[in-house]
Amino acid sequence: MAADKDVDLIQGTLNVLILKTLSQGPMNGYGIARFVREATAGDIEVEEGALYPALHRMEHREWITAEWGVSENNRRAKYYRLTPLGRRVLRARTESWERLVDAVGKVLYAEPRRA
Amino acid sequence: MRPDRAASREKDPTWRRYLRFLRPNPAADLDDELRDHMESTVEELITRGMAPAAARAEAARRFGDVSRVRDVVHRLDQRHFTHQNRLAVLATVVQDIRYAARGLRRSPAFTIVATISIGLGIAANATIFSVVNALLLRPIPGANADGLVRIYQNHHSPFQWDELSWYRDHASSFDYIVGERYQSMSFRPAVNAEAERIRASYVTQGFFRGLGVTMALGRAFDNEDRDAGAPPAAVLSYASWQRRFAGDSAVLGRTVAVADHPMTIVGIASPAFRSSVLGWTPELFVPLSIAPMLTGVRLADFGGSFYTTGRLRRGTGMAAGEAELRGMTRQLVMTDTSRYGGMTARLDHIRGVNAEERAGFAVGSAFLMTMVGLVLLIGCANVANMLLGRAAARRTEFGVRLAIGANRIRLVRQLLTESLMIAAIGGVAGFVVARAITRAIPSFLPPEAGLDTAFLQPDVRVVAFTSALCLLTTIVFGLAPALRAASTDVVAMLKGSDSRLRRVRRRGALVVGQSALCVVLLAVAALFLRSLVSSQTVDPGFRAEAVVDVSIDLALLGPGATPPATFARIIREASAMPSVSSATLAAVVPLTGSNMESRAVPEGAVAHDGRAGSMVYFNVVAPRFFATLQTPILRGREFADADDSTSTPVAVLNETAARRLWPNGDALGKRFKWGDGRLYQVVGIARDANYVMPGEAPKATVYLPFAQAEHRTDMTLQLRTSADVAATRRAVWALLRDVAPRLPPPPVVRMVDDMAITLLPVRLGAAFLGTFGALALVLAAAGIYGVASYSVARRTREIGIRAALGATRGRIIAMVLWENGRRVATGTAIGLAVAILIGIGLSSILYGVRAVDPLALGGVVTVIAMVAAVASIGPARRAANADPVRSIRSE
Repeated sequence: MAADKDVDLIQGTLNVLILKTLSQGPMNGYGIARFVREATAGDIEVEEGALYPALHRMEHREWITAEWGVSENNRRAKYYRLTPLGRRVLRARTESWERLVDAVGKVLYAEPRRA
Repeated sequence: MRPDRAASREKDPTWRRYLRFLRPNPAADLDDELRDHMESTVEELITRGMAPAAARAEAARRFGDVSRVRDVVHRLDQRHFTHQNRLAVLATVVQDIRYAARGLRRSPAFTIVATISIGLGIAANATIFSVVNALLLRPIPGANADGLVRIYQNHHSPFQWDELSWYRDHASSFDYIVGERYQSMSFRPAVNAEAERIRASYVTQGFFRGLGVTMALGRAFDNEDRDAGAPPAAVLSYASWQRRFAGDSAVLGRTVAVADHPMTIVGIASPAFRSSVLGWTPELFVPLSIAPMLTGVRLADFGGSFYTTGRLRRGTGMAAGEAELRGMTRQLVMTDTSRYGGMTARLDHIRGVNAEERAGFAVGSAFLMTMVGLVLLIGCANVANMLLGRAAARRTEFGVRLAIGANRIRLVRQLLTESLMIAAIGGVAGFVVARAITRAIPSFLPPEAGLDTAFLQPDVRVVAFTSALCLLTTIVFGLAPALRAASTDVVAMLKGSDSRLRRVRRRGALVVGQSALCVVLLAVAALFLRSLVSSQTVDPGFRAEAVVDVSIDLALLGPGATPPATFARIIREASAMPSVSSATLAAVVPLTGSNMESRAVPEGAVAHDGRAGSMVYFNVVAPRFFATLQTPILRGREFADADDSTSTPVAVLNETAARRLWPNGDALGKRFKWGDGRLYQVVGIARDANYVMPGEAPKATVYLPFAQAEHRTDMTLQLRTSADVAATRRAVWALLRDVAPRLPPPPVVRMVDDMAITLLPVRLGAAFLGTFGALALVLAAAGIYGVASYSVARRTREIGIRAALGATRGRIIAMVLWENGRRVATGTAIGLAVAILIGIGLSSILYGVRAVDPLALGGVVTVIAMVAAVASIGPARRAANADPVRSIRSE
């Protein structure tokens, strides 16, 4: 049960990262992973084993849509793009993430009180 | 990069790309996507200065297990696409239904005629199937059917008490074995109320529990827990509770009297349950253990009259259960070979009527189902015909749709959806009608038929049958027109040409088929009607008019009754009634459905094939039987009062029996040995009379005098009287109150009404088939009219030219009539041939009618010819009235 919650949290976080990344413009899976890695200076490494299931799941939910293009090296590449629904989800998730961070922060940095 | 890889990669995606135009290929897409990721990583590493081989290895290392990722994502995709597909299919189905509904709404006349055509056919089928279901397929209503089986002795005989209890006490394959015996009982709803004669059942211990019958109220009886001295318990049927006690729950604990013994009502059986045997309708269930007390007869003397039902232990099959009972029967036979010799046990499923009646009902059912099948087929032909016409009218619409890229399969699907909707509406309407009819049928039948309004009620099985029938009819009438419509030749259509001739011919074939089916139905119905009429007029060999039957069962008086003396007194006093010219007793009233058979052996006859003599029908009657029924005695005399238990046993034979027993000599004065071991002397030869069925081939029949043959308690008093039945009833009841005060007033009916039961199959057959025939005629008339109108409309130009060239109105009308008449005549010829074959098959149940009955068949031909003429005359006149100039221009 607790483990499932962790997975949900991680997956939810990954979704937000992907959505945020895609809010900059269409990108393929490789680009997304690379962007996250570079944005976090290598702190967060997105595993392919998590990235692709997440992308496909969000595609099924119509948060993102995909289209096929040709990469610089003339390969078929799948480019994902945020849908309006995805944009709304990103906004909502960002807000709740900020609230969480804020709340957790309040606890972590609270002045110790004496009785 | 190595050249071979590059080449293969280039080639591969190219054709795959084309493939994607046909249908999505998620697996290949996924491969491409993951490959892109891998290659991008490799390229990144190479730009960072890694050697290609090392870069490739590093990328693979980073990615981890590719096939696992592919599997996970692929499964996700699969699930998603399956779901999407389902939604898409659902959406197109909804679309098709909308399209079909719109199409039907737009042409209400077509919709109404089509649904009525199908609805009538389905109604007829569902009605007959409801009957078939109730009589042959449905498990005993109100009982738990799981593992329930009927146990028969040999083929389909019931058991004696000692046999039943032997099985019950020793068989291990069964959880329960129970028995039921159905008979008349004397019943008083309160201890000092008037006695009434009711139908009731003696049942063995655990009867209700064994059958899984629930109680609507109270409990079933358990003899074990009876307080000594308390009255024995009885269970009332639900129907009887409603009728006699107005459903008052205060009836529980009430004391009633059965055979003048007080009994307590402890429970009311569930409404659905009637009996363990289909057709029995006991009002009261009485424990068998008290039968000796009520009747003065030992259980062993009840004879083989216990219908036995068992519940197989869970996991035990019928074969295993039967094997065990057979083994047990062999043991039983060894205990007393003379008594049980030749006996075996047989298990049978417990659906519908008992095994001995099943074959007859199955044949009748198959026959009636075929007939209603024909009605439905005629209806289907009508709809198919209309659909073809409709498809022709909508050709342009289909052509345009196909031209702009509609899918032919989709078009067929839409047209089939339309057909299915017609069938479904017709099916629902037909089912509702069938329900109403099956509720009404029992009220048209004599109460002896033992049917109540719930008996024929459609259940799940009937609903399933009707639904399946709707699907089937959709295919029968809808598929061909739909395929035809979808095969529209777009180019030809847009040019305005058409293969018209073929189409007319095809629809002409429908008329031939319809006429043939219609003639078959009408001819068979006519045979039944003729048979009904001739069974009313055929001479049965006696005169039933002015005879009144009183069925008297002295066993109802219980122990101590003296049947011979009481019957003698009843006859004496009945003969003295002023309106009565003659009175007698008969064990069996002829033509009422019952009969008795036994073996008679002429004195001195030599046995061949192991047995001497012949099987003959017999009846046990009192003096003046032949006088009362006015059957002539051809030679000798009939029974007299002097033929009593002290005098020489005598018998009267009918002509056929006399010839059968003494083929080479005069029977009068000869003697024959009877089953009771005595020698009877023939004192009279009576004229042949019908016994089992009206109009039957004469049956060898032996009559024995009541005072000499074996002791009987159940006889029918037959009176030839000038009074009406109500007055006779009053007089007879008054007489019986005097002679046997405790006897419940017996039923008093006219003999002709008693005989109605044997005519029931023919009557029902005539009623059903008459209705079906009329339906068929109406449907076929609609079909003939439709095709005539169509062919006239199609030939407008030709007819216009003929008119312009000087053809008279008469000639044109004759031409159209001839065209249709030819088809109807062909169909009629085919139909007559089939009808004659069916008539030959039916000859055993038809009275006094031959399969080639000129009157019946001639009548049918006349009727169909007239209907065809009437149906064609309208279109023909329209053709003749058409303005030639406009006709020629019209196309």
